[in-house]
Amino acid sequence: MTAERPPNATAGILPAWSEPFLRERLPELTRRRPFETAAPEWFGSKGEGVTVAIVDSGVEGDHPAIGGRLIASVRVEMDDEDEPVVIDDNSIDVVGHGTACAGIIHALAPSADLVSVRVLGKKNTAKGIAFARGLHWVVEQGIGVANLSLSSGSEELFAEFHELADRAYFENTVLVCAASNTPGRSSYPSLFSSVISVAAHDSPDPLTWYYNPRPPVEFGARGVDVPVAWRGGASIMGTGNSFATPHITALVARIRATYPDSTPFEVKALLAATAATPPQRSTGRSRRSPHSAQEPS
Amino acid sequence: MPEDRSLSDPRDLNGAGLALLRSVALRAEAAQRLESELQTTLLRSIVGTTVAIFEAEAASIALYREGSHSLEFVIAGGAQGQGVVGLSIPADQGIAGYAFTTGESIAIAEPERDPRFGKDFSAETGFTPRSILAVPMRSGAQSIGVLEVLDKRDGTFTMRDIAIASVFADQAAVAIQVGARALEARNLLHAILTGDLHQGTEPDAVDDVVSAATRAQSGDDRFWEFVDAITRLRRARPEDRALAIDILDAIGRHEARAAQRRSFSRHVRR
Repeated sequence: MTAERPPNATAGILPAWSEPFLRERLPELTRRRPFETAAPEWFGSKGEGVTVAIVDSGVEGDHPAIGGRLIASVRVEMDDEDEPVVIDDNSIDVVGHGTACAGIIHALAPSADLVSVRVLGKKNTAKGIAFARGLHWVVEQGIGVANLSLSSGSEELFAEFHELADRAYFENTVLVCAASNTPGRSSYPSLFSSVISVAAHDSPDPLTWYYNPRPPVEFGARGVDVPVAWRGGASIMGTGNSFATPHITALVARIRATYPDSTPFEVKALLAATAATPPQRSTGRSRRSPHSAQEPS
Repeated sequence: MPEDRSLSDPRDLNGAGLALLRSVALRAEAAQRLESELQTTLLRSIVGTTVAIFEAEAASIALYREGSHSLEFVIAGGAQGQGVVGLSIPADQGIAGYAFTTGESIAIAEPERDPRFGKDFSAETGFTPRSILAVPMRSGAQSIGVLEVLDKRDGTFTMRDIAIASVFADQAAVAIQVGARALEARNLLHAILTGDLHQGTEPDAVDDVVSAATRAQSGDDRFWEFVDAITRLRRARPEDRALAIDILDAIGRHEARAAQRRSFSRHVRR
């Protein structure tokens, strides 16, 4: 193997969902004509009056990056009959991952209230059913925005997640979901059309996001070497679609603060309309492939 | 066969049934011994390749242990890798725990900026990494372990690194599953015995039969010594292995001639 390889030599093993947002492919993300004049200033709020749920490993409430905005914490546990139940939780994080997401959201939408829904932990390891219960709870509570930087690979739960995603959509809860970091892997509900799915681009600007008109993954946000809060008051750098997602979640909180009655459909359209204008190819020639680079798994 | 037959003793089976049972048990046991060696070699090779590709300080494979709900590091490679083998961490905590629990990869960096990060584990291994990449090893939708890569030499882990490490993790998961097949042969024995052959048999009784059948092979005859010797030969130098093959070949030919002579003398006597 030589040290120097052409950029496309390993295309087969590139992360499928982030591929549309690689620098050399950004020019393919052409803007839609009616969207060309839209600007992010349309929703210049800080997320005031909006509650955002972080469905994850918990959120460390006293972490400086959260700014005291965590107003509630619950967790999902399996009861004696192995049924998932939602109970009050201390504001803790068993990994650091949920705190990382909450920190990003707080940085971009500092007036939004945060609610932690912990679905990871000893008694519900790898149980998609606990995740589904947590998501159900968020919709029941009428929380307007949820950050799901995790997903379920369980085919058995496909129907349940599909129904949940639809229910959230109809009840005005916007689900912002990380695409799986691994191509070809089931990841629910992130692959459903009713949610806002997010992968990573490698630009360091937290307020640059792209719209990909070739789904399933529609948005790209900062997700490489992101400085994030972590467990134990720490701060680290994280890479992955997990960290791209809360950037979009924060934008949704801002849109919802400016347009409180906006539906998930309208929120998504606004996000697409205000996405960054992709750089133009220096050659001026379009190199768009006849097929999408992504295959739904 | 009587309905209420006890199965606590393999002698209760008829001759042909017992022979079949022993033959299956023997193959399962032999496959398990041979495969586990092969599996370890394969996992070592995957970890070694991972270290080389990423020019990492260390890479390791941790497998899920259901009883203790922990991840046990079983294989490690790289300059800083060895201290981790044998250590266990709770399966739902830390970077590896996150990858295992969610089935999702994660890459983080520069944890040494904050001494609180992963303090306990670093103290045990005597090594504090600057960057960590953790990728789940999956069997279908189930996580069975985690592949971890520590300290990539050049910079931090990229999205492409995550994708590449996922390929290695998939390979490792396949190796683990192949090893599990030998165990499944034993389980199949259980299934056959509990199902078609003897309906209504207590699971404990079936356990007794299977272990008795296996034990019968490992008692007086020196079969297992032979299997172990063959297993050791896998590690031998090529020239030693060639010598061993010559010797085995000579014994085989000698045995064939002896069998021929025995058959001939029986024939003559008749």
